[in-house]
Amino acid sequence: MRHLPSDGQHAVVDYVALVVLAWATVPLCRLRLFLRDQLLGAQRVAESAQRAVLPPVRSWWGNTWVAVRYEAASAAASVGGDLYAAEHTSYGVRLLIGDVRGKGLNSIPSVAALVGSFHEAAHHTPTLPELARHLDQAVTRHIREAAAVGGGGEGGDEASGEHFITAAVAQIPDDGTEVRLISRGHCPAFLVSGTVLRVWEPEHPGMPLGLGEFDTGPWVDEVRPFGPGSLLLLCTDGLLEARDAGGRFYTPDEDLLRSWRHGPATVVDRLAQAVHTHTDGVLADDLALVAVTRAEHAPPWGGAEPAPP
Amino acid sequence: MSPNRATTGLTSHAPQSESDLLPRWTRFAPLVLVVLGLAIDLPTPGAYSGDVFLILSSMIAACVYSLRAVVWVAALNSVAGLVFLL
Repeated sequence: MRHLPSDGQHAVVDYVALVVLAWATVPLCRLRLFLRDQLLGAQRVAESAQRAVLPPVRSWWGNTWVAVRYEAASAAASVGGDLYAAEHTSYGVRLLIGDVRGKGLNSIPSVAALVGSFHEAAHHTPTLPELARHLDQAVTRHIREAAAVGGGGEGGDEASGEHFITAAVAQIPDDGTEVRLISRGHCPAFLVSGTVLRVWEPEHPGMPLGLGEFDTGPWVDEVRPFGPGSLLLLCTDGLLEARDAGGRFYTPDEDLLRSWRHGPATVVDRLAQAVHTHTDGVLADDLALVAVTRAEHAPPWGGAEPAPP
Repeated sequence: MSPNRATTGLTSHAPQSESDLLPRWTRFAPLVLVVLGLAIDLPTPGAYSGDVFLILSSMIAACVYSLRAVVWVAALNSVAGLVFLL
């Protein structure tokens, strides 16, 4: 409290300064709210665009239960250089997982090209080798087009001819007890049945998509038994090459064996959580997980709609 | 992820609301600062001024409150400053 009139002049100046500063915060607040609304709008647009690139996958197709988990290395984006897709076709449920060379936002055009091509070709190509060839041609076309228009991104990989996508395509026929897999330079899959976990390393891994013209080996798929209760996990190297601070790689075997009986949704959630824990929350690479199992029966609600709460 | 979900896919990165991001105490800080300013200024005539607390109060309010609440805090601080003056 000031004593007027001895220091009254200073006190009035202080008061005027106080009032000016107090009310100056009002336009500052308006500016903050305006910028917040702008940011929210941009984030909504980005979210929609990212979902257009990697659209949601139905959890159930008949008695086939699929779960997907995706973690982009970039904290600012939902989508990075890994990809997944699933389609229910007349040949069964077909699943795609892939990893564009490199990571981050520059990979998204390649992701969109391959996923778009898969969604279309999965319905028209009877065998997995034919489907893989189709995807290879689509990726090659995309790389050439990107190089022609100079869309090589910061690294300029397309232009330098160093662009490719490792991928694996799995097929689970609706009424069969087997699973087919073709890998194009992709990391191994995991197959769990009973108490046995098998790492599925394809005998002919092949060249990655985009380099198919250099591949002189056979384009063949492999078949494994896949009865009710079995679980197939497709992953990217974000899982197998996740390292902790000491440089030790993460091995998913234990978490997989512990969680697979709870279904694909639990498997992908637990593995993603385990990778986060192992890497202390710092993902060096994008991570995509696709787990699929065949249930004894389709869910009571048919699988097309969510179950009633 | 619930096994009953119809679809599976990208995890939403939708932004959290501001109130989720800020510590809970920031919601009360502007009013606490006004009270603190009054508590320091009124019992110490001529020695200490509580103006700085009032200004800080308005600044924090501008960062965490709605526009309407910021106007109310500015008005409150103007009245509090007048109390200091008298």
